Amino acid sequence: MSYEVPPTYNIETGNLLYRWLGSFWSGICEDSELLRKMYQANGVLSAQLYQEYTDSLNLSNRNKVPVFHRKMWFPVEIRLSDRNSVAACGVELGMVPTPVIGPQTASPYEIGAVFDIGGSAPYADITAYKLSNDIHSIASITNNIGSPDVIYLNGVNYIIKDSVIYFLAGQDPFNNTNFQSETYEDTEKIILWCVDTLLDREYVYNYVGYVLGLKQESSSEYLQAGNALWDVYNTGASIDLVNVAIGAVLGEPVALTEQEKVEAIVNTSRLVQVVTDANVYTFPAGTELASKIINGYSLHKGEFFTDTVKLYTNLDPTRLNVDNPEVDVLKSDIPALFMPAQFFRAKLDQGIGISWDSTPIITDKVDKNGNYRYYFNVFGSSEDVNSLWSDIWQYCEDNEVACKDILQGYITDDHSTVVGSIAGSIAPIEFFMRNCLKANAMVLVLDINKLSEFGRNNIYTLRQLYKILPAHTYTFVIEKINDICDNYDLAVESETTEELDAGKGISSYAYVGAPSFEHLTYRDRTVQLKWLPEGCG
Amino acid sequence: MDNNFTLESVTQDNVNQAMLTLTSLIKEVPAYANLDLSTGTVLTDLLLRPQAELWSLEELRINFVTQMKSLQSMLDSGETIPVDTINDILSNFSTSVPDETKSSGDIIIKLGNNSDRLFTAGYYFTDPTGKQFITVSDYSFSFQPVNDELPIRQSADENYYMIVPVVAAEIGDDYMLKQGTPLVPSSDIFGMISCNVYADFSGASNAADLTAIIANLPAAISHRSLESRTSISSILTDPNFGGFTSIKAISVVGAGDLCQLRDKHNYIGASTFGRVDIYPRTFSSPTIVTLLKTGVKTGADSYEITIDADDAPGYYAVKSVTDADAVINPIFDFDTIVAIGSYNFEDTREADDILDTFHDISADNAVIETAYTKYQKGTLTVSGVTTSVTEERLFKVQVYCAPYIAEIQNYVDGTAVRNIKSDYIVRSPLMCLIGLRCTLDIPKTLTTTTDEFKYLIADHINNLSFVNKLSQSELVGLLISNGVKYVDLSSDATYGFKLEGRIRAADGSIVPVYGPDLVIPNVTDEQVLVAANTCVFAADVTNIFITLRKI
Repeated sequence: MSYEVPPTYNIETGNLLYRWLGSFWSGICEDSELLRKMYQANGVLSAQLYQEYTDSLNLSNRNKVPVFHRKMWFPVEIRLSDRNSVAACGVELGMVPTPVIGPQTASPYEIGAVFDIGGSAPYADITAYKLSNDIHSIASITNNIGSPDVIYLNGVNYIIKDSVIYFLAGQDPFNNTNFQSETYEDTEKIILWCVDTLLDREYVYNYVGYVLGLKQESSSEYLQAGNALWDVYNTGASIDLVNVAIGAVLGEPVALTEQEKVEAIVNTSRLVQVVTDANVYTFPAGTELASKIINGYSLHKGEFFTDTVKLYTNLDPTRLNVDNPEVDVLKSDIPALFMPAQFFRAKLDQGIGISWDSTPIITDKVDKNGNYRYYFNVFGSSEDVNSLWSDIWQYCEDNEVACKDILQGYITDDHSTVVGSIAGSIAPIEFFMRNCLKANAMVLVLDINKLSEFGRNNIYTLRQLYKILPAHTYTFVIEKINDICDNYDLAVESETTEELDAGKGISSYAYVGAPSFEHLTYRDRTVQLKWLPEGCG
Repeated sequence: MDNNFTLESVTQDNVNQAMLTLTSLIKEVPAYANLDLSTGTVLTDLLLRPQAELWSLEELRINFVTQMKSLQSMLDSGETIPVDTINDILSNFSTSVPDETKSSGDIIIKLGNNSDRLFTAGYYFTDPTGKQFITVSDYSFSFQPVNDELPIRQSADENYYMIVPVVAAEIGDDYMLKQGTPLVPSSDIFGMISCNVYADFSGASNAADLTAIIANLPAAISHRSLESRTSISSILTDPNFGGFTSIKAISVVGAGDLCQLRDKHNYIGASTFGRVDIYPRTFSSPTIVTLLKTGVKTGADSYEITIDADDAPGYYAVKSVTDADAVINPIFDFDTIVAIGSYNFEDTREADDILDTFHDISADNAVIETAYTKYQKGTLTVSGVTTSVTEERLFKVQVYCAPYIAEIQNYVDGTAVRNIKSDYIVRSPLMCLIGLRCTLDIPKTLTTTTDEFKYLIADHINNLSFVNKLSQSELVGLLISNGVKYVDLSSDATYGFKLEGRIRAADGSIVPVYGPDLVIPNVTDEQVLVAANTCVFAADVTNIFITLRKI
């Protein structure tokens, strides 16, 4: 016959319960060390639970969303049978330690040499184990918490890529006796104590990005961009907030407070810092600050520190003062614009391009009202250009307007009326800015070579601006790319013009809401080399 | 799904991690390195496992709280989330889950005499499946109506008819009755010859799913103003502002967008921007408005009917023109938007009262620029009328029409919300009306009926926003995920897969779109307002033909 203690008994006689608990450790299991370790273990779990609480609290505030979930101590079990049973490792530029392609035993750049991949010392005898998919990084690894005998460091002893841990240069824990292994189901297993493990629970997407329909890999830049865009959604497209959003999307720092004064500029071999009375802004070493950023300069919210990103909100050419050096800058930043087909009443196939290059205005035949027609050249297919001028002439004719009135200021009074003669000259971009673009168009100019990798990979996110800028405005985006070109000296006889390729032209275009016809995307990445650890299938 | 977890909620996986921490730390002491902590030992069963379970339980609770802070996490959980829980999140965005709505429509009752009739509120009609449709107020009918009385009319066959408005008793899109469906009144109607649905019912909507709610969040977090594409959507749909909660999707055609024709009214014909056209999808399944219009005889068998701007503001296309008391069962025949059973007609549009508006509409292109707005009116030239050929006669005109086009236009024109010098025109989206025929092989055990598959497909199509294409693969995927084993994708004339669409362009021409994928960019013509940002796919279940084969 069993005897059951009613639960109420324990509650009513709490002291008895405590005595029982105490007597277990004093009477049944008299092992204070075991008790100590057990409470230490409970302490670790308790601290981790607190971390979960703080994450949960911070997730309520979109500005405080943690990018990753942090595990202070995280046990990871690896099994010998799983060694090298995972996919290949992607070796790419920028990795730490730096992977070197080639055997590195002799002159690596010998003409005709064939390079092997993964020949550099750190990657010799590499072994790989699969981690759970959500592990983003591990700061270091020990064999135990209380008194570690060995500490492995990220980038020195191992690297983690795509949820696979690669132990470098023969540093597999199974070859290190400090890691205690034990037999488990016909194989050996080891517990790695991982310090400061970051788990990717996609917090940024799940608590910020999804609201905007914006998904990227978890990162602090992604969080910053999401919040900056959210601010514009919330409060409207003020110039300051739009600049902040553009800066955040492209990873380009902007002044964050309404007014702040530059107090110091630090320029070292490791970084560039601008210290203001409100914030400290850090840039990579070698960053070229805008010439206006000097001690004492007053920044306003949304102002960029460099010339990497510029937003021209005023395209009124009548404001262009020839004595103003800014004019040359604008012409350099906006050397040409492409106006797609839907910009025009005429039915065009692609659209037309316009630049600052002065082009002659040519006299054409008279229309039925007796007015001369004129045209000037713009970039585009002959069909599109013809359609454009036919439409303009037809409109003028129907509305009894002289074509010369449209070109007033560009046509000379005493020009010849012979068909095909020059009646004046014009910079097409200036003409279209004056007559069409000055009212509601903006130009965003990006110096691609100076953008960070995050910024270059994130340009496509600028499409978010389409949804949040005023619907009656249009934004051109110009990417300035400085290609490295070979120099040819035509004075040298052997370098004839036959040898010169005219170069590749950008025949396609992309605009907000539509990709380029050539299917180029802003997500294009550099080529990755795949390296297979020994034994990988 | 509530946060009432108990130890029973904790899984082995949850416990293992905590157990690993506890046992590993104990085994760190050399003396305990070989301590037996396997299942069944006293230390494990009495101390370690209960502790691990408690820690896991706490973690489970916190994770639940964390998960319930994000709609995306809720969606990823795969659980059925109560509306209140979703509203808890949406309250932060000043919005809530849209209400479900009931369908409504008209019933035609044919009578052998013209005596007065009275229907009190609550009188109901029952369809063949037992669903009830109720009169929501008292309706008096008379052959010679006065005041608020509704008319009893004489039909061509010398009998009489009256049209009674009703509302579905319950919420749900399966209450969307089709024209011609027979109904049984709740009590005898003196002299009744027949009782049928007069025109397709409309207005029903089911509860929005989480995916649709999430898709609307950008508008929810946006400021409410007629400024950006998102904020325009926001101000129109917010119950505290425009309140047009029936808007399912919205396309704002502004600067640089295809089909923005109104910002090029200058000599150069180049955009100066500053003009915005708003295309609100205020319907799920294509909404049909039924008009009783008087036609004026213009020839031996032809009549002219004027559809005034106020009759069906922004109407998209005419589905049918029939005798006033006709109940036809319109079928889409893959070749035309017009229903079989309709008189032949021509639909000519013109601008109405554009000089009275401040909107920038070119007189040179007025038909296109007022198309599908409240500033259009139409003239129908009907031919082939051989019965009751009198100087004037009544016609039943059914038009596809997005609801609230005039109301939304009036709202954005209101000085209380309109920005100075702004110019917004509201247009009905162009409906790419879908016809689909397919044969499905299903397991013998699957109980899904043909009609249920039709509604499944129609629901999917009618919940699309402004998208580039409707693909065969997405429809096949939908069917496969609902138990279908095989979809016949051959071009067999009887059993093969046939998917087609028809768009009425702004100049009145019909643009066919052929499958297997219906790709709007392939038929884009911005001069007549056909583009992906102006068109929505819309399907009527009567235009979906499915053959089921049990395998």
